[in-house]
Amino acid sequence: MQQDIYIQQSDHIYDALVVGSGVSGGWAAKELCERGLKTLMIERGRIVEHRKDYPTEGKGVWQYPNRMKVDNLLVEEQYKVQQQCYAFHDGTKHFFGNDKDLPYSTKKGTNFSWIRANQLGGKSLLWHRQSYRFSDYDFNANKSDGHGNDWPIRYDDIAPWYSHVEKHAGISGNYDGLPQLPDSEFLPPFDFSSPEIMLKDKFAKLFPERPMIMGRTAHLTKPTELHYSQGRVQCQARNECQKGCSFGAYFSTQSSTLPAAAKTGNLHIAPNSVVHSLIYDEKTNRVKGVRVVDNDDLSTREYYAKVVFLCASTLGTTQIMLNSTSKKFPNGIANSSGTLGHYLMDHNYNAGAFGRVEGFEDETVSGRRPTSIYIPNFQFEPKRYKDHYVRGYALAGGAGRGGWKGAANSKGIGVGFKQRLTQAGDWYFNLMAQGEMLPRFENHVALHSTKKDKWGIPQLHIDCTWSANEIAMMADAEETARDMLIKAGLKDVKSYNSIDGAPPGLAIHEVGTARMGRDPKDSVLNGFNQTHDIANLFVTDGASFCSSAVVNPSLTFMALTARAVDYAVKEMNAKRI
Amino acid sequence: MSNNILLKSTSKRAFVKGLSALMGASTVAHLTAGNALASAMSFQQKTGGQARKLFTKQQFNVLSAVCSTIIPETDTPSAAQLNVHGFVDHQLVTCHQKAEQLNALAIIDLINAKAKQLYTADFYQLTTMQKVQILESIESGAMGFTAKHQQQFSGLKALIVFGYFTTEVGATEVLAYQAVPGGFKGSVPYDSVGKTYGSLAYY
Repeated sequence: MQQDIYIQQSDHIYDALVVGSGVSGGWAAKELCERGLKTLMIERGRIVEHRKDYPTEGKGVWQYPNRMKVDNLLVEEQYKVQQQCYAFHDGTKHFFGNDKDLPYSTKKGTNFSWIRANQLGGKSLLWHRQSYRFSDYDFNANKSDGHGNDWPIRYDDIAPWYSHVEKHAGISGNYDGLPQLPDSEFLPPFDFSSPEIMLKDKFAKLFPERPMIMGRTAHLTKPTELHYSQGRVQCQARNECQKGCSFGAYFSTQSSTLPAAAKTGNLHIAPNSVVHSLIYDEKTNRVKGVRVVDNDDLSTREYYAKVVFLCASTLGTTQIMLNSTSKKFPNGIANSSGTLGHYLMDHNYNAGAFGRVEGFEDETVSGRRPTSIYIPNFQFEPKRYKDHYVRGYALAGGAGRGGWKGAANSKGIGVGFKQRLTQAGDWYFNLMAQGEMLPRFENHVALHSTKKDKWGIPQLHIDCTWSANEIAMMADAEETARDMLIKAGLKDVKSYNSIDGAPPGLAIHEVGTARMGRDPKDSVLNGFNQTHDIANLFVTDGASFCSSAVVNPSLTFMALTARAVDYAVKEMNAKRI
Repeated sequence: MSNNILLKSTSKRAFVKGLSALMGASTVAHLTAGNALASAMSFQQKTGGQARKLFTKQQFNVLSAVCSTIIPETDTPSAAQLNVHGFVDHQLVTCHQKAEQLNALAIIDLINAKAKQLYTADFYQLTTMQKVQILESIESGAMGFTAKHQQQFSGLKALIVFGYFTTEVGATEVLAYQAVPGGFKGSVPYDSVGKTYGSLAYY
C-alpha cells in the first residue's frame, strides 16, 4: 500500500471517520470511500501490511523453538486471558492483544474472557470465518418469546446487503434451501469426507428436522474476477489462516476491503491512534470528531469529520461511548435511554459429543479443510423450543482419522509403537454445540470508577454470567449430541458439558451493549445503526445487536455496516446529516 | 514491545537470582512454584554455561536412552538421533507446568534406579531388550511400578512423541507432509498417502 495513506496529525475535516479496522471497520471504510467520501480509518494498533507483516506464515512447526507452544513466562506476564483462545499459539500471538496493557475488571464472582486483536485488520485476521445469514426467525425471536427488545429490521431489509457483501468477500457453501438459515451468494462448498456423507444420510433419516450441511465459510473455493481484482486467489486448504494468508484466500480487511477502499484514493489511515472519546458539540447536537491518545508515546491529538462510524468491536465501541460524557450525556454519549453497556451477549460453546466411526480404513482426506460440518439450529421458533428453556443451538463438527497426537497416549514401546504412530488411526466424528445467549439487562459493562489503562482511559468493568436458560440448554445439547451419535451407530461415544468452568467471552462473539431498537427510550440505535440521539453517529459492529441468534455474527456485521453507510450517505446528501 | 519483554524477564530473573543467593537454589525451586518463576529459575541454570535446563547430565543420558527406546532407529532416525531429549529438556522448562517437570524428573530417576536394581548398571548401559522390558513394565504396572508412575511416564512419553513428530524429519519424512495442499479433497485412497499426516493446522 502506498505510504502516504498513513497519517498522524491532521486538522482536515474528513467526510467520515471510521473507528476500528476489523470486519466492520473495513467494510465501513470501503463503502464510504466508494461513495466518494474522504474517509479516515482510525486504528489503535500498529500497521499490518498484507503479506509483508505475516512473519509466521508458512513456517514449519520445527522452526519454532517451542514447536508452536508459547513460553510460560510470556503467557503469565502478557497473555493470561488471550491464551484461552483456541487460535492462540506461537505463530499467532503477535495478532493478540497484550493483557498487561489492556486491563479490565470483572464483578466479583464472575468472569469474562475478552479476546483482543488491536492492530490494523483487528480480528478479521484471526476470525474463524464461518459465515451465515440471520433468518427472519432470528429477527423475530425477541418479539415472539419476549426476551430482549424487538429488532427494528427484518430479513428483507438486510437480504440485499448480505448479497452485496457476500459477492465481494467470497463465501463458500451449498444452496441448502433451509428456512432457518437463508442461503448466501455462494462459491462452491468444501467437500464432505466419506464418513461425513454416511452420517449426513443417517441423520437425514433419523432426524429429518436436523439436516447436516457443509459449514459456510469466507474462503475462495473458486475465485471470481472480483476476487482476482482484489489480489486474491484460491484457498489452498492449509487451514493456518490466523497466521495471515498471502493468497488472500480468506476474507480479511487486508485481503478484501482495504484494497478496495485504498483503490478509490479516498482512504487515509491513522494507526497507533487509541480513541479516548468522541468530541460532542452540544449546540449542533453533532459529533465533531474524536480525541486520540497515541498508542506509543501517549501524546494526544484530534481528528474531525462530518460523520463518525464506530466499528471498534462490541466492547471497544461501548467503552468509547461510555467515556464520551457531556452535560447532555453525563452517562455516555447517545445514552439517553440508559441502555448503553447493557444486554451483553456471547455464544455458548460448552457441550458436545464424539465417537468412533467404524470402517473407511482405505480412505483419507487431502488438505486441511478450513471449515466444519454444520447442523443449523433446529429450535428456531417457539413451537420448536424445548419445554424447559427457550431458543436453540447449532451443532458443528466433523470427521477425521486419529493421528500420532492421540496415539501418543496409547501403550507401546519400540519399533511396533513407532510404526503404529506413522499410520492413520480410526475415524472419529464430533459435534459441538453453539448455543444462543439471551439478552439480559443484568449482563452489562460499565467504566470502572477508579482504574484506568496506560492511555488514561477508564477500564471496563464487566458483569456477565450465563443464565439458567443457557445452563439448561447446554445440558440438553450434550444429551442431544450424544443421543445422535449413538443412534447413528458410532462406537465409544463420549460427551461433555464445560459450562461450569467456562465464563462467557471465549466464543469471541460478544454482541450487544448499544442495541438497535424502534424506541429511543429502550435502545441506543435505530434500524439503520444510527444513534437515536445524534444524527451523525453510527455504530455498526456487534454492539448493535438485539439478540445473539445462533449463527456466527461477522457476516451480519458486514451487511449491517454496508447498509448503514448507504443510509448515512443518502442522509448526508439530503442534508439531514 | 520486544524490548519490554526482555526488560521484564530480566527483572524476574534477577528476583530469582537474588532469592537463590539468600536461600539456596533448591529451596527457592520449591517455593517458587509458579510457571514463570520456574521458567526464570531454569534460565539461570542455562546461563551457567550448560545447554541443559532441567535435567542433570546423568538424567539427561537416561532420558536420551528412553527416547531411543520408545522411538528407535528404523529406516528413519530414532528420537535421540533427532535430539528429542534436548527438546524435552527445553520444552518442559519453557512451556510446561512445574508439576510436569517434577514428574519427568521423578520417572527418569526411577527408571535408572530400576536399571541399577535389576542389572547394577545405568539404564543407558542396558541392552535394547532390557530397556524395553523396563519401560513396558511401567506401562503394564509390573516390577512394582504404580499407577502414579504410569501417569508420570505417560506424560513424558507424550512429550517425546510430540517432540519427535514436530522435528523437520519427523513431520516431513517419517509422516506425510502437506505444506500447501492446494485444496481439499474429502476422499482419497489411503494408499496414495500411505501414512498419517505430519502437517496439522493446530499442534
